[in-house]
Amino acid sequence: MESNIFSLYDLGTLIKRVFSLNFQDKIWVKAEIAGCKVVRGIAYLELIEKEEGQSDKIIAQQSAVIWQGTLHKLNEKLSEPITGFLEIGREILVLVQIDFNVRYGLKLVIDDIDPAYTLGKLFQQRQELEKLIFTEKLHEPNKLIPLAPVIQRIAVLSNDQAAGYQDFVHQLNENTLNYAFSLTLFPISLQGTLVEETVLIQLAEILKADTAFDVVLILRGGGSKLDLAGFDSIKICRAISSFPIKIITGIGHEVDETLSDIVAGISLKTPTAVAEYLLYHNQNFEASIQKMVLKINEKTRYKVQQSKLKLLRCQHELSLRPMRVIDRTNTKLQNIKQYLPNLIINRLKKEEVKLSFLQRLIGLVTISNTLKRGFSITQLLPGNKPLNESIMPNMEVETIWEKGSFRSIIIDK
Amino acid sequence: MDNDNISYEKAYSELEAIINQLESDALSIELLAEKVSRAAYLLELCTQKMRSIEADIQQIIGTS
Repeated sequence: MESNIFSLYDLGTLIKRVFSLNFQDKIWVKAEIAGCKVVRGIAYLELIEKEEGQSDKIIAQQSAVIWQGTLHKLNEKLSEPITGFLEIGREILVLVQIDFNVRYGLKLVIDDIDPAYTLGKLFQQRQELEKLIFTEKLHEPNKLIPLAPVIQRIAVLSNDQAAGYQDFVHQLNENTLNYAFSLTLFPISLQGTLVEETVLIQLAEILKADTAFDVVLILRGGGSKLDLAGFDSIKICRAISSFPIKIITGIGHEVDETLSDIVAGISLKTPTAVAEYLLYHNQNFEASIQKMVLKINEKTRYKVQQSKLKLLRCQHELSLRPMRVIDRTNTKLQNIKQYLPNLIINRLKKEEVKLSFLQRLIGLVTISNTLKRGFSITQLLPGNKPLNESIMPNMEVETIWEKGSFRSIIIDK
Repeated sequence: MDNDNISYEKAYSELEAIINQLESDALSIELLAEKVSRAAYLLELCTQKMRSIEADIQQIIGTS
């Protein structure tokens, strides 16, 4: 029984021997980074493997270390600090030496990293997310939001330490057109795992702000593909897609396109390009105003010209027409003047005719006419009184006939 | 009836009415002298008004 009992050290030594015998060569291991911290030039990593599929269940876990010397070597190989590369959640392919220390236990000592593997994985993930963006049509909504005719109140998601942001501010403020802009910076983390969190928080802050921003900019200068990978977050993409204000991105260099760029309302290559775009946009507005002013001037001049011509025509008409009217009226009055006496004379003549006719009619029944028809009138003398009952023989009478008169004595009664 | 404030149009239409009456023999002989006198008055009034208007217009156009 005693011979079966190991001291802890003996056991450790035995295990170390087993490891040394079986893992003489370094081996390539693929794993996901679950934790990473650099203490006094040494990087301590926690590597995990999750179950296939969407599950987050961890099925394997190991601690790993990158010694200071290796860290320098890797920095040179990646031409950037390795710490930026070793992000939580990232899949890496590392060459490890399995080391078992009798006191500290098992540790994977990382000797090399294959960045191509990580980039490949990231690219693959990115491809899947890009597909998801188009399936969910996340790339459309923000593009449909119209851009304000003039952009002045600008919310910027960036970092005032970032060169890209400083270039942007310089470009915008030094514009020769003298356009004024009101910039409000909402600081975000520009790389690493904090990109997603800070962008989401600051987008929410923009909506809470008192200012009604014309546009929201997401700006970040150039960097490696891994630096920009934070902007490939599907959560950021969803937030941009459903954001009620137009978002313009200027992330990275000419060739870079993050998923955020795909869903943004407008995606431009660099922060400087964004500044140029804003200036150009406002300049376009000013040009359209100037065009309108010219048009108004032109139209006004035309109208005035037309009115002048009309007035001249009116003036001409005015000088002719009244005189024509007066001439016509004068002619009419002259006609009346000539016509009126004739009219009156005619009217009188008509009356005369009427009267003479009546006269003739009356004449027909007068005494003389009666005498002409062979009658005679006999009157008593003296005094030419009409004959009456008192006539006696020997009374003198006068008889008037057509041709004259004669006296006679009544012989008998 | 014969006030000087009568407008040209009214004077002229009254004048026309008298002429129409003369033409159509609708005018009583009793009123003939009166109407003819009225017509002469209206004719003179219209002529005066026309002269005045003409002079005014000549002056306006001449000085514009």
